[in-house]
Amino acid sequence: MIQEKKQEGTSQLVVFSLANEEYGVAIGQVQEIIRPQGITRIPGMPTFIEGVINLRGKIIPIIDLRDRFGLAQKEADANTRVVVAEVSSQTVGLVVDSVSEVLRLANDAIDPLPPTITSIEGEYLKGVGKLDRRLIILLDLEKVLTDLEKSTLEKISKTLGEEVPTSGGSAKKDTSSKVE
Amino acid sequence: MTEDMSRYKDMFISEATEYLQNLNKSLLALEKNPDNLELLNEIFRLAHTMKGMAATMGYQKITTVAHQMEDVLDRLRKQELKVTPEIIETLFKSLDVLEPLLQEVASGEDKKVDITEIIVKLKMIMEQKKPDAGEPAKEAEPGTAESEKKTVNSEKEKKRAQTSVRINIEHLDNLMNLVGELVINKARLFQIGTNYKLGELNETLTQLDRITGSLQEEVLKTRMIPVSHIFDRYPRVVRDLAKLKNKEINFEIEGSEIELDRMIVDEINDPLIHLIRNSVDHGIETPQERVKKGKSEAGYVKLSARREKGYVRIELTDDGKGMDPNEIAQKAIEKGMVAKEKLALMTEQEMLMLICEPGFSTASEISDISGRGVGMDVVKTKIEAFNGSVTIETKKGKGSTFIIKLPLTLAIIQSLMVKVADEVYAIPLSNITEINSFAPDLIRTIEKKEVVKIREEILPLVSLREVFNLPKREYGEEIYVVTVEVGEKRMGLVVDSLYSREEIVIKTLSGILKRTKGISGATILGDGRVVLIVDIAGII
Repeated sequence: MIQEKKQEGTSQLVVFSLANEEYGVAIGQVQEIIRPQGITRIPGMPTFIEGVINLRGKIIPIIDLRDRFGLAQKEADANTRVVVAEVSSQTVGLVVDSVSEVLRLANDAIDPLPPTITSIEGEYLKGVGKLDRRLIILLDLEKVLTDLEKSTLEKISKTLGEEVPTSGGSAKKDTSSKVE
Repeated sequence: MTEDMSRYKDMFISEATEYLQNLNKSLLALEKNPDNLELLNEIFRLAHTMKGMAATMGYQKITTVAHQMEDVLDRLRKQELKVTPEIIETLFKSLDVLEPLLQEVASGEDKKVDITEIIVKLKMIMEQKKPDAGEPAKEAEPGTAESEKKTVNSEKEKKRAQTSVRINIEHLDNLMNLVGELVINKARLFQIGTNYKLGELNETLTQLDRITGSLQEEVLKTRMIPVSHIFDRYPRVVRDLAKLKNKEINFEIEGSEIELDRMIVDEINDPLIHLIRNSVDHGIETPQERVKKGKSEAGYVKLSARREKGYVRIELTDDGKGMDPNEIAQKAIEKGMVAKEKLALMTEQEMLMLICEPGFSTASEISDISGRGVGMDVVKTKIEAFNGSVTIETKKGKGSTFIIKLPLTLAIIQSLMVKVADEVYAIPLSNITEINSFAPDLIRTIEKKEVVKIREEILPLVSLREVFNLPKREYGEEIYVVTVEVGEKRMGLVVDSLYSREEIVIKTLSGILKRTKGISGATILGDGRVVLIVDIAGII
């Protein structure tokens, strides 16, 4: 992957932060950046799917990247943003702590990933970009998404199995209670 | 250039498919009416046109087969040959060869369809002698006169045909989406007008409302096609199967002009074929059995479609064996599908519907016709997948009727907005039978499950909060129960409050959201909010 980009010399990245680490995704994959609002929860979905939003008539899922990557939860604040990305003809919104900038990175400055450098699993990562003293972790969005899809399906089929007893046993709750 | 060719290819396929269907239809008619010259001419014309089209496109095999058919048909219409059941059979066989050939063209793969056998058969017919060498010339005359009349007719048809155009379904989908957007934005404007009390705006919007309404209706209409699109294939299905099973069947079709959303029409084809096969194979008895029972030798199967309010009702009736709910129930118990105790609580209809459970097959011996592929369970799931329903009416010894109710369209539906906790959900009105509110002390329990008695009927209750994993709450002074129904199953959904009734545009959820449980899609309200649509069939 890195070799392809070498021909152009530089790559343009959208840089965002998650739990004090800086991540970058190729600008071509990012459609826009919005503030999180009006999220509708979808019941029965794994927790990393926060819900859906209406993006100009299109309904897109919102993914909590912190949850997805197993990082500590954080309440949304004024800096929280949703990076709307289009990957393999699917549009998704990724919740990140903040979006800092768009920058150009010389391809020479991108190194393959040294193991144990970050707190998230290595398979989503393309490499590490060095810029002055900063380290920018390059995310492979395609990988993130295909994996998301897979684990979503797994989680749903799991809950499907579990939900049978819940709905059956719960009916007992206030069976004869006469609330007035 | 290649793109051009592929565009012609699509056109060719859709036209040729139509021709094939008409050929089937006319051949069936000819079989019943072998002396009808007008029909023969029509069939000849169809085969001839098909040959021409295929030759232009350079599809060799299709051209050859159609050409041979044309030769045979030409001799038939000139009365040099007599229409015999064998010839008709061979012509049917030719159509059966043309069909996979068309598929071959459509998919672009070589499916190795062998045409030599059919060509040999057709050629053998050509070598047959004239039935009666004496008078063909004279007999042929009315034929040619007829054919002239026919060409005049077909020219007229052509003129009429030019007023319509073929459109890629994708364009229609896009149009539909855009209209959906328009409706949403209109609702939004209304909201603003109301919020800011802008009378003039609201007046204009009322006007706009009417226009968008008509626009929506028109666009919906463009997506509608008559059910004849699929119904026309069935006489052939019935004929072939009846022949195979040595049964005699009068098959009647009614209401094939009724229109439905194209997507639904395509989707109900397989289920319908399955039902028809079932009727012919298992429903109708053999002629001997029928005579013994004092019925007419030939069985009767009727497929009908008609509009009902907001629905299309498709019925398949046969005057065959019929089914016995108790026998079905007995079988279900044997197969361990139902507990004996449960049976006592079941209505006859519920027992009948057991045949739609996976793993059930009424025929003691599984034949290659009905036993393959789609079972009744698939029929039911498929119909219910787009908010339709299946019910059965039957009388042992008298026959059965399968009733399918289908919505006219999938794209825009009426729905009731309900609130649970802080969330709003849409319930399709087509699923709702009634809405009640009553004091919670009317709730009883059966096997720890909450039920309520409404007009002497026991209605099981399910809280929507539970379904969607929301925290439970104590019932207040009144509870709201929305009674929903899918097929014969009914249940009461307990919601916190009722919100509004709205016309919504369905948006399907795809990608990582495609497997949501209990949710069939989403919609966008006038204020821009996303609201999920409850999948009643999925939770009932």
